[in-house]
Amino acid sequence: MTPQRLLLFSAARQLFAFNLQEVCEVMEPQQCYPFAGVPPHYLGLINFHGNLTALVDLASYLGLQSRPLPGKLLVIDTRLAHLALKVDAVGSILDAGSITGASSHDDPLTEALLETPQGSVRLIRLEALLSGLEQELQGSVPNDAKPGGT
Amino acid sequence: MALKVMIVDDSLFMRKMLRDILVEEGYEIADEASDGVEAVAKYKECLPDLVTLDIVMPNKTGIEALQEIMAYDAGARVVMCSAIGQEALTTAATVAGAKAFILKPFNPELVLRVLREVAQG
Amino acid sequence: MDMSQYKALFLSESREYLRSIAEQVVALEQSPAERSAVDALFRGAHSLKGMAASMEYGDVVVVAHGMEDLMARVRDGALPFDAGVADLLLEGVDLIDALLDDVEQERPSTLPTGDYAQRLAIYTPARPKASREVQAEPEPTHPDAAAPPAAEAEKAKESAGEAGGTVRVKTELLDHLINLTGELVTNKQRLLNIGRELASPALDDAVSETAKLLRALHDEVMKVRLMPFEAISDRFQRSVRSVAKKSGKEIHFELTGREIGLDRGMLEQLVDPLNHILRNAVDHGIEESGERERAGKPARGTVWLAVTRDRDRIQITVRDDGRGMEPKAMIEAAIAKGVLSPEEGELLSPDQALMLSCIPGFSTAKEVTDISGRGVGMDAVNAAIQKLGGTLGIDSEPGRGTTITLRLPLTIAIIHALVVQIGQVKAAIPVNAVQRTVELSRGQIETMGKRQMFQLDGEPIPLLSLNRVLGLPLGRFPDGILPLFVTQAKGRRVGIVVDRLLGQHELFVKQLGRPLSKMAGVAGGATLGDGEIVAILDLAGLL
Repeated sequence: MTPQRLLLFSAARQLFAFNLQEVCEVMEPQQCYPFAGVPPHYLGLINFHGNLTALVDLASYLGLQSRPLPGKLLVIDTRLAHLALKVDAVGSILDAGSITGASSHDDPLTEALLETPQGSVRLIRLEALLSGLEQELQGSVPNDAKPGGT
Repeated sequence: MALKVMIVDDSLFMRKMLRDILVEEGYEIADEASDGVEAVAKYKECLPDLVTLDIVMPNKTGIEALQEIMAYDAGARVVMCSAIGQEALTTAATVAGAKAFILKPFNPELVLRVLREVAQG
Repeated sequence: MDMSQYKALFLSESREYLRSIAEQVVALEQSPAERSAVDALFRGAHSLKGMAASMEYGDVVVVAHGMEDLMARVRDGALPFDAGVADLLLEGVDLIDALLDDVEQERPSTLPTGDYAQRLAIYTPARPKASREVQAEPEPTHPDAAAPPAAEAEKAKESAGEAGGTVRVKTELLDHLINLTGELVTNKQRLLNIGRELASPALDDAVSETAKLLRALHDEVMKVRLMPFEAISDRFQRSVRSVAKKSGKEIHFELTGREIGLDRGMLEQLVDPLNHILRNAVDHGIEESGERERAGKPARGTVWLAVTRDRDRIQITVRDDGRGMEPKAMIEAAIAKGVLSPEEGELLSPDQALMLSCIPGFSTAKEVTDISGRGVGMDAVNAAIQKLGGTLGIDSEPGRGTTITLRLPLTIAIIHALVVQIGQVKAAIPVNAVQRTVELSRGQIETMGKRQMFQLDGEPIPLLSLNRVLGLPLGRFPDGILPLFVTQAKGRRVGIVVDRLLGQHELFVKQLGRPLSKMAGVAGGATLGDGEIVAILDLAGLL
């Protein structure tokens, strides 16, 4: 089902969209603190109104070439997750009425491939994104550490 | 002047509901009590115009509390509240001086009508 | 009338009634003639029914009505209060509990209630023999101290109400209060840092005064959050009872300290660990009655659950007078399962050997019954307790019984932690997990096989690198000094090497939310005084 209003953004030269209701804020990049033991697409933690929020580089999580731009941070609704995504740029809010076509997509992360006046847009399924990130964290069992310091 | 009502029920939920119904209609809540002993003591303190009295309660049942209240103040206007299943006790309450009955769950219109009638004698 | 505004009140009061009903059932089992408990049970079911009818929750009405009728038969002498009645009532409590959860989550209920009501309506007592079984022979040595007099339980229920100048407060408000206090603690650290840079005695004074006030505020907020242990204890009585029944053992259960207050957040998280420890005690600790009699013990086993408070620590002990644990057997089993090498086994003291039961996958029970289950073992219990900032200790004497002791802080929201530097990252370790810190010179390191160790108090302690555990580049230590802290893992001490020890901080623990909350080895995060965010490591989950 296509939501009423979508937030368009770009990462790695591709257009994506979220259901507008799932995003609570678009921010300028801000101070981010590294976090131990997480995969490399985690840039670290930011403080979003007192919530400790994981910052993930979306392009690199999707295995795409991430671009050296300052970019923007999309903060997911804090009731759903403590997650912010670094993307290249945030575009307009798109009304469902202006979508000219939609097709399904094999990728479980993609709710649908939408045809819009701006071009072809991948609508991301937030729940799939979150559970994918969680599975990855649960899969990375801590190393069996050897004595260190040498 | 607004009539003062004392609400007696062991359930906070029931008291809150009844309180909201009565306050909305302009009654003043004289006090609340959560068992029979407390009901008798508070009645003597605040001398309300009307009492709603639950039948099934700890530390003295509603019937026992009713008897003591009537012994203290023969003019007390007490309305008994009971849930389905306690009909057998209504006769005892009438004998003891209850003016009317309200059946739980509370129907706001019915509660207000009964109280109005009892207040007007 | 809009009833939705009463939903929260309905749920909280209904749950109070359920708790009180469960307590009365257990009390009545110990002294079935207690008239006031019979009355209280009847009233509890009656009130629940009335409230649910007002909310138009038909399923709850059906179940509560059945319970009320059953108790009316007991009250009127038509039915003795026997084990069958107790079982049915407790089943009703569980059923309503589940229905209330459905109501709370606003999901349609799928639980069948008609069958339950039917069974209540047609219930007739079993032959006298069956009812004697549960009644058990009176034990002169244990005058049923576990059963609170019904009147007292009734009083406790009322004092939880709004009498005596107390008010009900929404739990979210309590959470909000502790959050604000936590943010203030973080800000105080910030002020301390600024004060150091400015070197202003006036500012230092003001900050230290603020720190004092903050401590007082924190203490008060924590007091408000305290709930008596009895808020969860009835579940333990029920679960001991049901495990005993399933395993066909006779158990006497004693509970003390039900009035001790614990942080409400912590109480919720203690239910599963304590349930598991108690189940273990009944299932694996207490012997069959024949075996007990041969060993000269009373046929009926006893399990004690005691809660005590010593200033700012809570201690919970679960003791049984069962077969106890054999340290040597524990070591042999661990070696046989490959979780321990024979050389490592040699090094373990008897106390350390008992802690082997907390290693994932370890169990000395000869057979895994459906009661204890394979899934959650003492390892999960230990991890849960550590996550709460507590410690777990085991004490056992073969043939005499086992005591498990949990030591817990009063609060889980604000903790003291050791902050360390590893590579480019800082991390915090709750001080309860840190036995001591050591600065080791390279010359003190010995190599034993593939492992590196050092000597502490005459005991060889293996070394692990936290950098390596977390997949970070290893430290260089140009001056030849390795900073480390000593902790307990797999029942023995381990030295965890880090790049730098940055000192102890007072931290406000925050949950991480999705997705990071799923990460093993991380208990949460916190903000340092300079705004920097650190992970709070959960060593039990990490190592």
